[in-house]
Amino acid sequence: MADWEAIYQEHSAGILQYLMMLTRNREEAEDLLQETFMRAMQSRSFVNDISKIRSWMMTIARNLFLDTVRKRRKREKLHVDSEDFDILEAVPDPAPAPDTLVAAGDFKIRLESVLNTMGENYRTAFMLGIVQQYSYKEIGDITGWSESMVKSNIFRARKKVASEMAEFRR
Amino acid sequence: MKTCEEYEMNLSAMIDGELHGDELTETIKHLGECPECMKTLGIYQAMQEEINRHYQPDAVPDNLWGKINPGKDTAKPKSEHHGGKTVIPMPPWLTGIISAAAAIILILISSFILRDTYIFPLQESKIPLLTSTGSSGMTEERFVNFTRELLSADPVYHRKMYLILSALYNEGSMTELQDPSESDQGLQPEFQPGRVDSTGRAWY
Repeated sequence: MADWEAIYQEHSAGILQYLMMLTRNREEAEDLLQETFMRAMQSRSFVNDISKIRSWMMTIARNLFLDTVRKRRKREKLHVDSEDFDILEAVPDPAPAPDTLVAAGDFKIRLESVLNTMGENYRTAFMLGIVQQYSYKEIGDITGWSESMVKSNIFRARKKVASEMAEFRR
Repeated sequence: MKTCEEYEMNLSAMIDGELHGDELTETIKHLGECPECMKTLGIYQAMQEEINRHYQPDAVPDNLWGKINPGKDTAKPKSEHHGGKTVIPMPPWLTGIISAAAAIILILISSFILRDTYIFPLQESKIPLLTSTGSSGMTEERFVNFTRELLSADPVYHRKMYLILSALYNEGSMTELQDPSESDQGLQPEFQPGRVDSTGRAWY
């Protein structure tokens, strides 16, 4: 029987970090983390191979996030249709403008602001490949991308961040 | 021939430890010939070091595990692994409570079992429980009441007790437990279930 508390202690912080980057909202990320573990604990297809558990958990987390986005978009579309109003343009980006953060010199905040300008695929590639250093094979398992696509997405994310954060280079 | 843009993607994979074989050899060779790509590799490496240094995951809230796994004490001590098994240390206060409860239960059970034999042996009769009828042993009335009590308390278990008692009674072995000094107290009546005794009470 799986020691879920040990799995939680080992992997929850990494999953939460990924979910926070995706959602840009700590509360929502914590809800999704909770849901991820509840789904995993109820799942009958538990992965017995300990080396694959973190990929499996991350896959559940990512799928839950994508489901949430899909549902939200559906709701928003209904709202737009009924009011003839483009709600997507009306919602401000919660991330602060990059210019205001350069002075602060806070690498982490600046990095997050750069990530927030990128699409979900690049953010996932960046978080899993560069921050959490999953193998390309694991990222492929989580996202369903081919290995060459993983390589390409990580490269583009890395290049974008490197160019946007030139001021942090020594 | 590959462009620098194509080699750049290999540089990214190289930093991630995902470049192997001929591609790795070719890229290293190109780096020796292209200062621009060498500079890019340095930028990527420096950025990776900054990320490793500054972008660590935040702590997960303490109460989240309790929400995921309700019914568990969220403040419980972390499990320890011994020989592949997970052992959760028991807090000292809980050990004390369990010990005290076990002692109380043991005392209560002992008192119940021994009350007639040892604790209150001489209040109604001068000799222990399984004695013959008569002034110094268990009276017929007490025997009937005792058997009835046992039967009503637990029909399965005390049915066995009833059979044992009746067998002892019929065989006269209960007499053997009688105080020798009062052994001339006459013969016991034969035990017959369903028989109505001289006082008009029925046997059970």
